[in-house]
Amino acid sequence: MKKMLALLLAAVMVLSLVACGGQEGSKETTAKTPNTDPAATTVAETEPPRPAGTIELVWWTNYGEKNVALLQTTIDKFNESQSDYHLTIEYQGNANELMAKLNATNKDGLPDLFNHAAQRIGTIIDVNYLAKLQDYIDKDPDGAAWTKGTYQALIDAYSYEGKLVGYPNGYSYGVVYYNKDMFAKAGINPADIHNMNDLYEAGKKLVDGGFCKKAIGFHPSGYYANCMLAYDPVDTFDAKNGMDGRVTKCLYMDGGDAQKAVTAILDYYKKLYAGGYGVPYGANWNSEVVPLIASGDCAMGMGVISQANNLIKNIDGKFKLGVLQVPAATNGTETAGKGAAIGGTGIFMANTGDYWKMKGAYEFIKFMAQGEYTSNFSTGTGYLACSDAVYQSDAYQTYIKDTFPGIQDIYDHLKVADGSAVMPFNGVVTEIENQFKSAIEKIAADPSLDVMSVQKTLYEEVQDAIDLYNASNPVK
Amino acid sequence: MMKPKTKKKIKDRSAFIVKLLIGILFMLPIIIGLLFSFQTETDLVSYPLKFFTANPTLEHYISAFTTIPILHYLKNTLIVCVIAITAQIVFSSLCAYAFVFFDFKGKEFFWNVVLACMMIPGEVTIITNYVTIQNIGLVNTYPGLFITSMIGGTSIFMMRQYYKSLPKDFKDAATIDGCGELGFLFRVATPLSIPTISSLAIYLFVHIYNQFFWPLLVANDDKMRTIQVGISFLVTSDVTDYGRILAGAMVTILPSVLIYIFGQDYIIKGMTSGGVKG
Amino acid sequence: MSRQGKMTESPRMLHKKKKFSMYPYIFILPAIALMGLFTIYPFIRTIVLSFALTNKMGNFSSWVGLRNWTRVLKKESFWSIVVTSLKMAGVNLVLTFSIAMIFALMANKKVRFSKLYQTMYALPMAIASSPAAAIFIFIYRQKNGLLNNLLGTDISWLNEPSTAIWAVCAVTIWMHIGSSFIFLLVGFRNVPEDLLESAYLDGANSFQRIRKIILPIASPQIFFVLFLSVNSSFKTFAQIKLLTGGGPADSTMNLVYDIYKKALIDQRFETACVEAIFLFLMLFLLSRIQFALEDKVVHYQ
Repeated sequence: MKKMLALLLAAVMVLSLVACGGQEGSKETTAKTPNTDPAATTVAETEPPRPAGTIELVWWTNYGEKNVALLQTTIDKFNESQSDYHLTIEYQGNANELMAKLNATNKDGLPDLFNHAAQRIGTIIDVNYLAKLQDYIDKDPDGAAWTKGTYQALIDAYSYEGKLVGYPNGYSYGVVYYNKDMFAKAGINPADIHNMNDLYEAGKKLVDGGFCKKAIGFHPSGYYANCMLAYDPVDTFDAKNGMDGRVTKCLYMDGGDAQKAVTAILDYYKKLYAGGYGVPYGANWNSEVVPLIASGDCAMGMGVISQANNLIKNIDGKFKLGVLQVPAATNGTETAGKGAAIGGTGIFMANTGDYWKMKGAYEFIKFMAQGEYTSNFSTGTGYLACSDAVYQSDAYQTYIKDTFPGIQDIYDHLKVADGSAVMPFNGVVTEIENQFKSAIEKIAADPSLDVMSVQKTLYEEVQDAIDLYNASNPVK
Repeated sequence: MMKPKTKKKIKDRSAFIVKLLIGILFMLPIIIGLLFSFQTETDLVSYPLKFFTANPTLEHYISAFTTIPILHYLKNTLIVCVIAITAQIVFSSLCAYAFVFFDFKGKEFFWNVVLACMMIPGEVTIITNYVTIQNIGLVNTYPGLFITSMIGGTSIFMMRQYYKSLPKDFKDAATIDGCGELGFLFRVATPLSIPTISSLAIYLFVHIYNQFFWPLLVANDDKMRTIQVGISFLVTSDVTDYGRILAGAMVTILPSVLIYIFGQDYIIKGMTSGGVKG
Repeated sequence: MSRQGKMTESPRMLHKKKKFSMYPYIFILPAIALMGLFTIYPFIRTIVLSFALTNKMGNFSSWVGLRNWTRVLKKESFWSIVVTSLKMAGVNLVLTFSIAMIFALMANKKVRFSKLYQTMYALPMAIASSPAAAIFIFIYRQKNGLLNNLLGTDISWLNEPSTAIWAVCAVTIWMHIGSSFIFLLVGFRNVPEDLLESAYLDGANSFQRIRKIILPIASPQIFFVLFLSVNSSFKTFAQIKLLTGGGPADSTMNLVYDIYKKALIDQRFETACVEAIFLFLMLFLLSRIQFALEDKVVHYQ
């Protein structure tokens, strides 16, 4: 009797489970291939009746409280300037936590706006969470005007299939901060650092020459590895790194340029930690690496440009801070490394399906993109100016002059940057970055490990992730 | 030569002092948190760190209370705790009562269900529960926060132990006197079980107050967050303000520590009444 | 042991037993309904999903039979996580249990003000993992951290694989000693005074009294504590999340944290299900072993 009941119970569960899965599958529009059906996300042809009163909008963010405080001034101005919409911003944890929240949320629970890492857009495009900003821009008579002047490199990075999908308000960039004074004293010319080997040599020179205790500290993330590969430039996945369609193959062990580049990266860390030149990988950037750089114990730091202001504050004028682009993996020739691998977070509209809320979300993005607000955000955080208008604004020019003259090097590079740096675009970028981070951690913790075996494991894990993703999200 | 009695006294006194010192040492992290939460920012980064500072300050507490809605988090946590604890006590009492005082078809089956539930670890169920809560539409609501804490195997066990400890003829005597089923439950068994219920309540409070993973998933905005999640965001935030983190931690542990200190007799009684009897 | 609910036989009782009553079903309804929805249903769903592929939302996508299991069990990274889980659990168990034992023996005798240190030994169990992690992050800081200050070292406790695992375990152990301590204390205090008195008069010293009297008589309680400890020693989550995030180099990555990571960050829900069931089976097996050993080790009165 007991057994029968138990079996019956189990059978009921299984049936309900499969049924449930089917239902929820149809709640979201069917998982699409990269060739998304435009009809699903275009603005509706006929306007549904507008609900009465002020429409509440919600923005999910992973920006910490300092950045939120800066954004809040813009949000307050937006709310004051009109009474149709009212926006609230909500902190959801760090980037991983925010993404986890978004992934676990049903379509009708989605916020109206959210932040997302630029290089991870691929993970949400397939489930149709994203409303294409371009659609709204096209429908807006002022559309072209407010997006004009945004740096082309950014537009490219935030576009998918020629359509702008989000706005780069948090335009960030993988960089290596360095102590300008120390470099000058040691006779190192930052312009000579083209690839990871050059970076290693520079660091070695600094430590061996007694200028500092540690050569470099890291903001722990696999994102930088992807930057190094993008600057080579080398494709690490098929379908032109995912820009031409579904990624199916990982090329880390292809026996060619991709493999060499990955080896070069892992080799760098092996050499660095074998010589004891690096701050422990995984140390907390804010509480452990920044103080070391600020005190002069550490010469360089690999991080993102948005961390600049915090670093400058800690340095407190003790020395001049310089910044150079993350070096390429292997190549040092003039032709390579000309691209600009975009990072940071952008603001995106969620495809909630609610006509008026989506309209409101668009209005906010348009509002926020105005020069004075974005330059306010950029100067307050260190995120880069996303358009020439912002760059030229008084506020930003003052920022460059008074706070961070070193940032000019980045703009000089951006002016001549081409579109050659392509970050991998697929549904498992998070896992790729995490696997790279793991691989680097392993080598950093035990430099006696064989690079090839670590690389092989890295390849297997990434290929596995891609296979699994493709199997469970079939191209329809 | 000392009298044996004095010798023993000295031995006992020193033993006491040693045990006390070990106790203080064991509590050191709490003491550290407390002492350093009153130090200024400059003191916290100065070298070497001193336990006692000449300039105690309340700035971190003020900062904690003004920059994050601590009181709000505490309010949310309190609401969740009160409702969850009340529900658990009521449901587990009823359930345990049924198992002890009744014989009914399927009793063994259902009891096995209870036992099975006690064995299933939370990690296995938590994510599916989140999906369920989403589908019911309870994300970011109080019910979403407390609903999974409204019953627990431990509570049923504890109440069952208590009811079993009642004399077997108790119920018969009461019902013969015309009490009726419900009457016995409400007018006799429950009032007598108040000590056990108190123990259970206090034990559950510490347990539910300290929940982390579930509120992390369910609460989307700051308005609904509980204290544990709110404090954890201080730790992982982009600004590592140690003073404020410690102040926040102190405020967080205060309720559970106080409840423990004043309720420990109840807690001990409750924890161990469900334990193994020889 | 009394059989549950069976009343003493008497004609009136027999008659009463046969009467059908709705009450028990109503009484157990809320509890069973809740447990069914939030424990049994997810459990079965997790088992079922471990044989399927899930899409981004964590919902069923297609059946793959045992392929998930073979894929996960083949991976070296999975087994290293299992090993790490066992290592951490082992360290947690041994140290929590031994220190709790020592504390319980120390606090056994009730003297004036012994309540003071008795409270101190148990108090950390009222501290949640978030604030505990917050305090310990301050202690473990490398640059001018408290621990480094006291020891005069410059170790990055949370970032060196060799020290990270001990650092995280230390927090878990500190938090968990309290509950084991209380259970053991009650068990020890249940030992009849007169037995100990007569042993003392017979010339037995403290160690002999502990070994020959207290431990055997309290052995059911000790067994119970061990049983609970084994379970809880695996369940370290918040500390890992806040202190190390599973790093460095996955040295503090245990199964529970990996389940969270796979399910929510990597969006590999079916893999998380496989690992969750694996964890459950591991705990189940351990409990079976423990119960099998019970008869050999525990002396019941």
